Amino acid sequence: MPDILNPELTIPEVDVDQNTGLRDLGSDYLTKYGFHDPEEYFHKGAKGINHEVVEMISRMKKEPQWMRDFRHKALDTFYAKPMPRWGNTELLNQIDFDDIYYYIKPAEFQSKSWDDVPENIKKTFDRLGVPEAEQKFLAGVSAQYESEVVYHNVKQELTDMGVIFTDMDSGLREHEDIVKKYFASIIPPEDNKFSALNSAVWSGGSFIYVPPGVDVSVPLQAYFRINAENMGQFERTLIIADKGSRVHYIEGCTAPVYTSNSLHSAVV
Amino acid sequence: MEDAYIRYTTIQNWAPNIYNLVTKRAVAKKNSVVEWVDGNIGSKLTMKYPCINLVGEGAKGEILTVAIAGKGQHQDSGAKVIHAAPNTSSRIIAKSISKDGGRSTYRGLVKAYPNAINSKVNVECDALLLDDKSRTDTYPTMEIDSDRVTIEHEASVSKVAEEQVFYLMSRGLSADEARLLIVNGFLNPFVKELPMEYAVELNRLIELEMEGSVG
Repeated sequence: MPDILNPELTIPEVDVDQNTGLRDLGSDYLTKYGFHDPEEYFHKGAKGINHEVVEMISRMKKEPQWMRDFRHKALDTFYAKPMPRWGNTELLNQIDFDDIYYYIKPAEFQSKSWDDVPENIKKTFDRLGVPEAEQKFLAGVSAQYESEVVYHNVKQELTDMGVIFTDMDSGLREHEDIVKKYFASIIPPEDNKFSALNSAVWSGGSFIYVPPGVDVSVPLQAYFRINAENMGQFERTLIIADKGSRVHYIEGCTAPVYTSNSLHSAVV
Repeated sequence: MEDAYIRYTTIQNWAPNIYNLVTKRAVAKKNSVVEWVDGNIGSKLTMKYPCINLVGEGAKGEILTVAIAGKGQHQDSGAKVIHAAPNTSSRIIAKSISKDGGRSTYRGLVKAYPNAINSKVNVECDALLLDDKSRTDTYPTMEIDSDRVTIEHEASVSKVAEEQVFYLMSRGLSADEARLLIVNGFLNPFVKELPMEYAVELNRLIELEMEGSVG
């Protein structure tokens, strides 16, 4: 088993060929990269942000054209927007956008059972007590590691009541009509520099829809973890509570200590 | 949507080298309730101001935030509420603790449009400083364009008083335990809103944060 918790592990950079390489990467990813080999079971792009990176993320996720266009447009907005001139501008201006990984895919597939989550990632979440809490008091759990949600499970009762609780990427695939209607309707990319950046490179996060009159009495939870150095995690969460419904959503976040900086910029 | 209820709870405990720059916003329609419960313990710089747009008549919004800023950390957090319908109400409770030279900032905006008649606004910001090296700032903004809105605003900055610690020590507590007790008392309104497991976890985190923080 690969020791992906060990930051010393050298991960070969995937060659991001800006013209042809990308296309291959997106279409052949599943067949080309095996699950068990340490160097192939997750993807780490190059550092920095540009239209090619945005294109790669969208292709790897096999997104519809409108979302791809949305991402590219948001990136232009990100370039155009100035840094906030308030708050701690000294620290803000120290952020080096070229020194960040914008997309890291830790595992090939998302799992419904903790047994299928890659051993080392599972160990991390075990240590954080996520599976234990799930058994005890949660109705659904989603666990995001770097850019992708690696584990997701919802109690059957909720599904039977018509509640949708999934990661944002699956939400887009399976409920495109709802997502298209509400996505970025409350926070448009133009809102601020970081919402534009998130819109361009978002990955993971939660998508929740609660049908009219349904009371989700037990909390739903998402857990976010950044593991790699210089990682940027950009989750995107959308919650829609229809007429007369009730829901409680909890999120928790941690990351190990490194000497260099990482960026967590979510849009909820 | 109408009559809906959403509560969104966050406990962020990032490592001290993480920039945590998050945009959170909700729209509350007629008679619906939105609650943000937001705890910021870790990160290098946090800039996060959960927002609620009260667009439907009778909508309610509540934002409860806690920030703990330690050495080298800046927690710049707050809340934003926009009243854009009649009979809406909002409550903001922001608490911050600064220690070991940490810096916390409350930045808040409450806006009421002319149609927000009979609306209520209640803002409470409390800051606790554990030593002389730490810093706290409050930037509350209120833009009220309706003369039929009730507003309450309270802000306080306090230092852990030596006499409080001394009093508790005279009851047999160590200086550390005394400070921890004062901090826990300060945060209690926040902690009691959390599910039990989280409350326990948060108390444990605070205990770890507070270890050896006797100045």
